[in-house]
Amino acid sequence: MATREAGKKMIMLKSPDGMEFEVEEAVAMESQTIRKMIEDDCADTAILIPNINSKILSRVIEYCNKHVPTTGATGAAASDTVAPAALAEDLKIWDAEFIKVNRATRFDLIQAASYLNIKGLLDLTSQTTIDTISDNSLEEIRSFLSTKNDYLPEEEQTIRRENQWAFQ
Amino acid sequence: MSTVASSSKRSRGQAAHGVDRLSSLPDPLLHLVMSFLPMPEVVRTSLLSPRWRYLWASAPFIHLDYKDFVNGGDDLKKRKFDQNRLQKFGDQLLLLRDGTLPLDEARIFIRSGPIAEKCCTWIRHAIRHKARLLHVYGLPIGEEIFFDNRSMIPSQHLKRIRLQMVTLDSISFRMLNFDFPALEHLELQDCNVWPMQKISSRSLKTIQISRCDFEEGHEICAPNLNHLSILDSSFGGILVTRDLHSLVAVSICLGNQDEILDHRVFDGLSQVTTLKLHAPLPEPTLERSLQTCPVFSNLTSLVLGEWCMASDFAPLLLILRRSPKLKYLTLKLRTEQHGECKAAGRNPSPREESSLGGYPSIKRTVIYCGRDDPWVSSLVKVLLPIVIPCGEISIKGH
Repeated sequence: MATREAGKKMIMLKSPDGMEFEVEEAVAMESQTIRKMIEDDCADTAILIPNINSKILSRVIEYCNKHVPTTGATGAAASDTVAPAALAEDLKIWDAEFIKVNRATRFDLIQAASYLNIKGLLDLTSQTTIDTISDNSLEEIRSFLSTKNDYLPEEEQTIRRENQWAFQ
Repeated sequence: MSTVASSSKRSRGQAAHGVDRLSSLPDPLLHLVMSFLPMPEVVRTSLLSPRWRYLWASAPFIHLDYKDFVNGGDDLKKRKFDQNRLQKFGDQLLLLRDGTLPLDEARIFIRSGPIAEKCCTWIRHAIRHKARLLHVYGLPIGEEIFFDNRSMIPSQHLKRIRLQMVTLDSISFRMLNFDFPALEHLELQDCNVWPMQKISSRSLKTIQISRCDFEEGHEICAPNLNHLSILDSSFGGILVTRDLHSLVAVSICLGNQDEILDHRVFDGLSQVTTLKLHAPLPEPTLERSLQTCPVFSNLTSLVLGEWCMASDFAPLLLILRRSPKLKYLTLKLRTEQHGECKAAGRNPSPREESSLGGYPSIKRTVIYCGRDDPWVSSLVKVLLPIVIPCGEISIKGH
């Protein structure tokens, strides 16, 4: 594990397409999956992230960088210097910008957030997916998700009847 | 590894040609995405495609929210909560979901009295489905939901309970203390509690209480508790803490009381590392507490309200003397004037009262106050001799 001048522990993350990312340990530990690896001492050199390409991994690191709690030298008192509400508002605006990506990237991010177990990112990507399909008709949602309607008309009738209590 | 990278490239290519990438996600991820939809829409996803047909039934959550059953669209005047529809939906949902699969969370929000009894049945059903998180939003007093053996059954699985607008009594606390051995997190908001109760659960790690009305006193003695926060709640009797040996962080903000009470909030807090304490004036609210104030041997961060400036700053100086490891001190003075707090005529000289022990070496002191607060100068005068040898004081606006 490399150490940089401030004494902060650095971790090397490798994507399967051969890119390497050096990040602070605290940032990497936003991922519960990586945290577990570090705590179990399975992370002495570089951590290979098997199924996330460099483009997505760099975005995930960008997210973790922003969301890592800022404690630092002031320790426990840090929360008293910056109003938490203002900080949360700031993060929200940043998140909204961050998630303005195309659908394919968003699905990649959902999968990456799931594999790396980053709850905040998982919630953000899922919520955004839902926001874009809520309040639309079935056909609109199908076309948005590019889901083919594989039901025969009579099958669709059966399901509607079966779950009638949810369609009222 | 290269095959993984290329397969992700391929699927992006396919997405452009209209292949459903969302449906290709594994069930747990689709369940997570679904959990952001209103529950009726979750069931309606069964119409999307065969992949989705039974997905809702295995979802590890139920959200029964009255807001999803309001008819009348955007016109506020015509909006009406359709309780029959919610009732029917809730019954069917619990009956038809796959009961062999455990529930991660059960959220039940109701708004209308006539279905309170139904709501209790749903809660019991959810707990029987091994719910790990239970969140109930109940009703105002008069049609209240009781958290007792009408709504609850013992469970090994329940880990987090969040109750809003729910009434708790002695049966509730007996259940909380003994019937949920895995319970770690308890949150009470806008709840009504009577009579005098005791929280002694051995599994609880976090308690958050806000805007609750305790008709009598309350005792907190959960031995494994890490975090305790009691905000803006009122007590008809005394609040006591005891034997909280694992407690790390505490935040207490007492609301304005009708009568002055001798709370004994400090008794159990001797191990905390961070303590925030706000209390209303008049002064004697915590005076009795201070008499039995322990030594806070681990306390490093302390936040106090203006109550500690009463009686010539006696509470502040006493707590400081009992906090040998204190590093960060914050004083938050309210913006409005606090007239009852009589100005210190004589200048207390804290360094001289050495019989009670010395002061900690505080690194950083921050005072938050309104503009031209007349209290700040006397406060600084008191603090300067304590802080100056090795620390600094800064004054900030709200």
